Amino acid sequence: MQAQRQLLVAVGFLAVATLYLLGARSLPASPGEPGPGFFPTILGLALAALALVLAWEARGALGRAWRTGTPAERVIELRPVLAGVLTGAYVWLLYRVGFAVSTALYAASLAALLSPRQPWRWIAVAAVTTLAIRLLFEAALGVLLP
Amino acid sequence: MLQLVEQMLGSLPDLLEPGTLGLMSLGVLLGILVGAIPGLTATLAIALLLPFTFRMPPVDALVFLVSIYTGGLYGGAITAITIRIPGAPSNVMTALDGYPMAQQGRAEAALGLATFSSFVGGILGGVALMLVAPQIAQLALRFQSPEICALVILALVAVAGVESSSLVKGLVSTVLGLMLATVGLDPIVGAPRYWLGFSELMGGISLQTLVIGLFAITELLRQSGDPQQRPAGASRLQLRRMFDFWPLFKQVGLRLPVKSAVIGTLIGALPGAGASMAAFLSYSEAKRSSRHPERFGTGIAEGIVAPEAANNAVTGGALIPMLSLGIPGDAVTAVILSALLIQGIFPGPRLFERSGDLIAPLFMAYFVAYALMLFFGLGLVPWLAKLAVVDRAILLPFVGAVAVIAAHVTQGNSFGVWLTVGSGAAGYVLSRLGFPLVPVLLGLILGPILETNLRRSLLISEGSPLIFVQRPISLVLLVVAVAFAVYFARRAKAPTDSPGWGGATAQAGESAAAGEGGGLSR
Repeated sequence: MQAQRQLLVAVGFLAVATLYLLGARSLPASPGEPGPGFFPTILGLALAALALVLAWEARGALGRAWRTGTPAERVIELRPVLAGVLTGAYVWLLYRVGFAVSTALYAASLAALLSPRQPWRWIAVAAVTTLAIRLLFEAALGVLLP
Repeated sequence: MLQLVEQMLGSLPDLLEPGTLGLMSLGVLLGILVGAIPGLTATLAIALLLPFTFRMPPVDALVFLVSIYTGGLYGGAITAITIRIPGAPSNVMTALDGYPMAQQGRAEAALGLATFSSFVGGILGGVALMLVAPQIAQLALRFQSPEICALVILALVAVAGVESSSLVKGLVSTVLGLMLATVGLDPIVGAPRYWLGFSELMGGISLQTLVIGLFAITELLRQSGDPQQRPAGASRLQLRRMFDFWPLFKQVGLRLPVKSAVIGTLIGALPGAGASMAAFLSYSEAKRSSRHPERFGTGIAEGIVAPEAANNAVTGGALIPMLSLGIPGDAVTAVILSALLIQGIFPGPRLFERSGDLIAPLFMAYFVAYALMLFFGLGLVPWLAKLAVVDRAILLPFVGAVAVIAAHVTQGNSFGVWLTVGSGAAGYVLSRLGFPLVPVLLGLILGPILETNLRRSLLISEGSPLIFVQRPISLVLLVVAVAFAVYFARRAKAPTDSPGWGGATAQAGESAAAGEGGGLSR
């Protein structure tokens, strides 16, 4: 699995390098000096070369992965994804419902994700986090929060 | 040098004013606390506290950040000794003898040894900083575009090799950072590049975006995925026993901490190398040169003194290339460098000429911060040890919310916040795939310098790349870069930034904390 993953990553970087190089080609020339496209061209070629090296290193037997993980391991693997989704939702809500509600919801939901059997803690974390950050940024920095 | 010392002493009254001293004390305490909490690092603390420095005068901002740095490198020793869970990778070696000593009922002595050794190491690193940085800056004034280009390439290769078990992955991270640096306006002719139609990207990707994204959001995601081991609980520490360390330190003598500090300073000055490497090398050397190497790991004083003196000497060492060349020595100084750039201060050879009024207070503040670290370390550790054992379910929501709000404060618009969160998510994916993150940040910082000097060099040579090998200093630097690349490509080592510190402790033949940590090094 690790080898397969590395191969996929290498292909991904190769695609990024290709797009980046296409972007470099569209940059204007500059008389008398290498121009704005010169450095990006070097970088794009370097990334492509490194991606090919990664692909070469990835050849080999496929390993074990997700299918063989225990249920507890799978939950732990999901947590970062859920934490990322919650953080994205926090940013989306921040500019729609304001700092207090969005922060309280975010803190409570993240606490729930990490400590599912202690609901009292979710409320405590939400309240303390919201209050502490408001004090830190508004009182200490004088910044108006959304 | 005498003039510098006079200026430093002249700046002392200002540093001892209640406001500045309070700020430094706060910085040291925050650094110790964050450093003590497993999984959090001084880098994260500085990344989150960056917005607080924007409204400070430059000297206060610098002094605050350096105080956090000094506290952070020491703080990890607290939980390493009390509950065998290092607060940071640089304190893994401290746990090997610190925890056994604590188990023997001598936790206070172990903590005292760690505190005093950190103080000695930090002070010696600071002396090296004072002596060496101005000289290197003077030498670097002779550098022209080809030499600067070669030096940056050397630094990037060194960081890529040190930060990852795979040189290829390290170089990929570096190139990604350099590519991010090309977003925005070209530094020479001002042509817009890779802005993807977003006007917010015309000014490029800001350092704050990547600092908060890679060092706070990524860490949040990593920590939420690590199964948390409930620590057994810190033993009850007694303040009146905090000076039990002194007879042990006298027995060890000054030779070992001085030698360890030299190792730490040299390692710290190498771009990419950091406190964990310094601690490991120092411990290994202490064991090798000891008359009783078999006693290491059983709770002896030397096993604490060596790594702690070394990892704190890194503070001074890492500041040498950062201040004199504008090239960070480790992740923390990379973040401090970004803070300086945000303040409009440009580290490098000209710093000592143009911003000389900052240097003396900064150097003096460094020593004052270490004095504060000693004071708080010996006086407050029994309470700090309790605070450090905090549940992730309480800590991470706070870290996440502060990171998002900090991004809002620094960026001023939702696009910037989304970019920060996005870079954090990308950083998490990269780190899970084994790609180091420090080279990405360094690529962003050093990319414009590399590109500008590369194009200028080619302009001077009318397009001939031979200019880089025709100039002796440039040639030497490039040869060293190639030598590093060959060395790293051939050497197989345990990962330094994979989740958990199993790699580093496996080298020492002992597992300090299964499944814990995974924080970015330092």
